[in-house]
Amino acid sequence: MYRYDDYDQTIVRQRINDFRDAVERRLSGHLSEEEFKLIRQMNGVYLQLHAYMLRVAVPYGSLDSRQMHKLAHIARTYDKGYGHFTTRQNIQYNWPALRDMPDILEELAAVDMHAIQTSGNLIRNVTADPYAGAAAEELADPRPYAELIRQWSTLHPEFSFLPRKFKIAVNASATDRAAVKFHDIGLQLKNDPQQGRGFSVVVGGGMGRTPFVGPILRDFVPEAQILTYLEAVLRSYNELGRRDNAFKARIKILVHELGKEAFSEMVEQEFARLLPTADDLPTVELARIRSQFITPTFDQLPDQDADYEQALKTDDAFAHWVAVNVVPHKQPGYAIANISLKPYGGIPGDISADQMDLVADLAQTVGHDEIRATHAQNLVLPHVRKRDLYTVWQALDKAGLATANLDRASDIIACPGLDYCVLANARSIPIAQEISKRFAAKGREDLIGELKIKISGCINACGHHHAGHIGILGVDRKGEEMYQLTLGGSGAEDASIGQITGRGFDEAGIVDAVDTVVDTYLGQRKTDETFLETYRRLGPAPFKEALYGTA
Amino acid sequence: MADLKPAASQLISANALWTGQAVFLTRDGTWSTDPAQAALSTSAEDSLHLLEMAKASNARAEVELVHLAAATLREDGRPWPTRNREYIRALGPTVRRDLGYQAATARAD
Ligand code: HEM
Ligand code: SF4
Repeated sequence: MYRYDDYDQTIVRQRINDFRDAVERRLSGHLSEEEFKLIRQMNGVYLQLHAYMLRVAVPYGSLDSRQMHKLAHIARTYDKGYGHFTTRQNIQYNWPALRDMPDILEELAAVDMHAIQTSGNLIRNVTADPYAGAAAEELADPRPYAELIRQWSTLHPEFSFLPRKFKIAVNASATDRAAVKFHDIGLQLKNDPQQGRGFSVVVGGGMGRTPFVGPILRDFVPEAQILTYLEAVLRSYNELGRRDNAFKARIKILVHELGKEAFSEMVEQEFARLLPTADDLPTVELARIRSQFITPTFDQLPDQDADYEQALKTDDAFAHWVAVNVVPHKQPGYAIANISLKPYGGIPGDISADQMDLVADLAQTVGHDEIRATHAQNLVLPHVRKRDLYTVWQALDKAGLATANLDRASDIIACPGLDYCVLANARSIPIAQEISKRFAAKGREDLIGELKIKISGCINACGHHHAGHIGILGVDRKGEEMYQLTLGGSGAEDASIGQITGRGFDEAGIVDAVDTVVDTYLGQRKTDETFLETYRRLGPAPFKEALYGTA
Repeated sequence: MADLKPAASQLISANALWTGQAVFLTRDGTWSTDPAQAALSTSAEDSLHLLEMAKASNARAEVELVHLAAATLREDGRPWPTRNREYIRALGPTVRRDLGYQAATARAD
């Protein structure tokens, strides 16, 4: 966990006081709707279909038990007893009243949380691998870098009014769990034999109306120069980005229209100009930030634990959960436990206040007080001793949190869609629920293996449908909810954008269509081939044929 | 969501400023959470007239997001919005029948 210092605290308090003032001025009619809208969105407050929505930042998805208890308390006191984890590793509340917002922000500030950098045309909440500090294969903990960038960019005067919002992700393992190629800037940590540690920098990825897999702008930037390089990228973008057209204002469009070479040249010139005067900030600051991270002191344990092995043998349900949801930890005797927020037929990402409290208790008692939120809308206990896994699982199971479906067909990402969102064209959640029920009923998730289904209720793509192995996009066709199907996307290290299969389907039809696609895969796959591998080998033809016939 | 042009057979909707709750304009210029209590416009001019009342309410800091919504008369002679999004705004999330207006009014009858 990162400990915030007084400086951060002061900024956050000041922002809350300003916001409290603004709420009062709006309620008394001294601010117009338009004036107030800008201010509330800067503080993470949106107006949705049924109520206000508050988006709370969870920087790089890290939470401790104190914070999770606070989130539960807010859900109970100010909301309707639940919250919703998003694909940005944030949490959203769907029902708080405007008059309560300043109090909620105060409550959050008491546990070092806030809603800054969750909206507006600025650098948003920096995201990172949810297994950071735990993954067996990681080069280094990516969070200090994410924090460095957060501190550098928070309220940075030059970058507070960018042409559009700006999202950065940091990943430090070979497996990309942070979707770096779909961010405005994606940083992939790497070791260079000569130059030491640094980053490959992906620029101009994104989803939305015009999705792009970001190209690598520079294969290696030394760690000590990373902020200078980012500054060069942002300056070039700030200079060229179009403010007259919101859709064209994203860096992805700029990089695409200008061409990677031309943009890179600009960045290199700016970088060269900045370098001589750049201080050694990253190195010094990184050391300070690392010292502020409370890293767990792991027990020295043998990697095997007899009781754990015994439980695996005697309890099939537990063994199944371990096989699907638990992944290797870098520390012997430890494991990373994924908590699915995708119960069969449930609402992806929703979690009740009681469930939050339970997860907090588990983190505190047997999890080195750490919890992570993932961009797949699940939670993680990153540091669990193997000998505690059985207890953890039993507690999760009792609370309906032990669904064994990580990266399986029912581990569906879905945006709030038309059930909550003002921008939506169609509902997403009920589609996710029906697909999940269908797979659960057929009991063939294990047979299918890894399959990522992602659903968005409009082209803004909050549900990452472009990056879904199977993607679903809700559209409005003359007042009817219709769904387009895309196949072959990936948000991981082998990033790609899904291709539309053909004409869309209605609510019932889309569930059948997904089934048909999966049947086709199962019929055509070679041994051990994943859905994505089969699709990439065969191309869309057999799937289209199964969906629409040969005509 | 493209804004509708004023026409006959429309409701005026908005969100209450304090709570964000979806509300519908009644004939006497007050707001109701029940669309069945709303004024159904009889003509484009009538819609404009209702819209003016709603905008005045917005200026008094009572509501946000004032907009027109297409509607028809239900069998019981009460107005009801026709578009999905207005339906969902009126009732609450379809995936949480225990929440929103639909929950508050659930099975009182
Ligand atoms: C319900 C209220 C929400 C509203 C009003 C909203 C609005 C938007 C809008 C307007 C965009 C367009 C960005 C662009 O210009 O490209 C966007 C993008 C995005 N939203 Fe949301 N969103 C909401 C909820 C969520 C939720 C719940 C999630 C997570 C499940 C999410 C994740 C994202 C992500 C990841 C993007 C970036 C896509 C990209 O890379 O372009 N949003 N959102
Ligand atoms: S994708 Fe569209 S419908 Fe879904 S949350 Fe984002 S803006 Fe709303």
